[in-house]
Amino acid sequence: MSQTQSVAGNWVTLEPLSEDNRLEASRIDALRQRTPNLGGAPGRRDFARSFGPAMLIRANAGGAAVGLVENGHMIGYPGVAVVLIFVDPSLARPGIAMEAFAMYVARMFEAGARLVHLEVLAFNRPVLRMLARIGVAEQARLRDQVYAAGRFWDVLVFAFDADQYRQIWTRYARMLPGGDRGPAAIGARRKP
Amino acid sequence: MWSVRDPHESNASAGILELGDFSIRALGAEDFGLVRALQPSTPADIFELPESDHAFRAFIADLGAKPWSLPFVCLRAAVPIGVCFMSVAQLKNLNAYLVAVFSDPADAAVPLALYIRHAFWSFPLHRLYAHVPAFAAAIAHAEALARVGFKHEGVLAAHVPSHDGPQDAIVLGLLREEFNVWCAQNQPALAL
Repeated sequence: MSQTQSVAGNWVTLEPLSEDNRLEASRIDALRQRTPNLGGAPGRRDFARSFGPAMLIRANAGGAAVGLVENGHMIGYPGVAVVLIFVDPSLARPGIAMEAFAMYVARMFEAGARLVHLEVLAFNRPVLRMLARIGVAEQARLRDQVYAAGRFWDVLVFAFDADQYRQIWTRYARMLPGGDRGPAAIGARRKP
Repeated sequence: MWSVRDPHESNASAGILELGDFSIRALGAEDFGLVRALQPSTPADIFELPESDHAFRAFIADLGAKPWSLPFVCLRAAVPIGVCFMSVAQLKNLNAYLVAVFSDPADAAVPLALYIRHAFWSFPLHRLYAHVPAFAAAIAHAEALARVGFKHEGVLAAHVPSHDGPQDAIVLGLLREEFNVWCAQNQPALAL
């Protein structure tokens, strides 16, 4: 699957950032900057080097842009992709973030990542619930690692490899209306 | 009723660079020979020390351009025994990644504490953290950090590539107030 293609799931489609969706991506990015959950963005990452482009998350129902997902190499750890996902809280619906995350992570492994690494603020309960639901266990708790929303917060660290991801995807796919059907590439550009 | 400690009536105003036989001083571009002597005792997975004078000068220049890097030499009876500096400083989150390498980590507690004290004294750091590969050759460095108050915060499972397959990295963290508690119990002269 090409890194420049969109990927369609049951609830969302991931689109590479382009001139076609630049304004939507800018709006979501501006919203992200004001959302303390994203204080969890880890410091040890290099977004100049990545396992593929950042992508816009678009809801299949209605076509609204609802989030962004991106990655970078983890500094000091060859082959480890740090993945960040943001979904507009006002537009978030059950399953949207989980499906977008699962599809994007698949691309990281296809692009050669050895591990996918996530860092989540301790108060970001929706994401922590999502990770617990798909069976990803906490590996470390970085105490007072991030200053957000007026105080220091712990950051929880998660990581998994391609084999663990396949097990996660199998569990997740069974929760979807489409059963075990995986994501499909649908071409480089979204149709108007 | 509460009171503010007058820094002139305590050691809080003093920049302490010596304690007993131990001292610390700034690491300069002329110190390549010193760093070279540390090469055999420094696992490359903790830090890959520059291997030429030219590379070392570039490394010092690069550190000098980064905030809060504070490259220092640690000495015992005026003989260099280690190097400490900080990287990946996150000014918003008031934390930094500590690199500390010693020829004899088992005997590094006092010079390491001197350096950490100087780091907390020099900058408004809230937290220092370090990752140490869980290799036999590197464990002594993790133990050295634990001896000056660093707490075990978990592991980054399989993050470190090696000839024997992926290995874990031990995550250690130290908060400013924890360091002050350590000082009160172990080296009161270093309390901030």
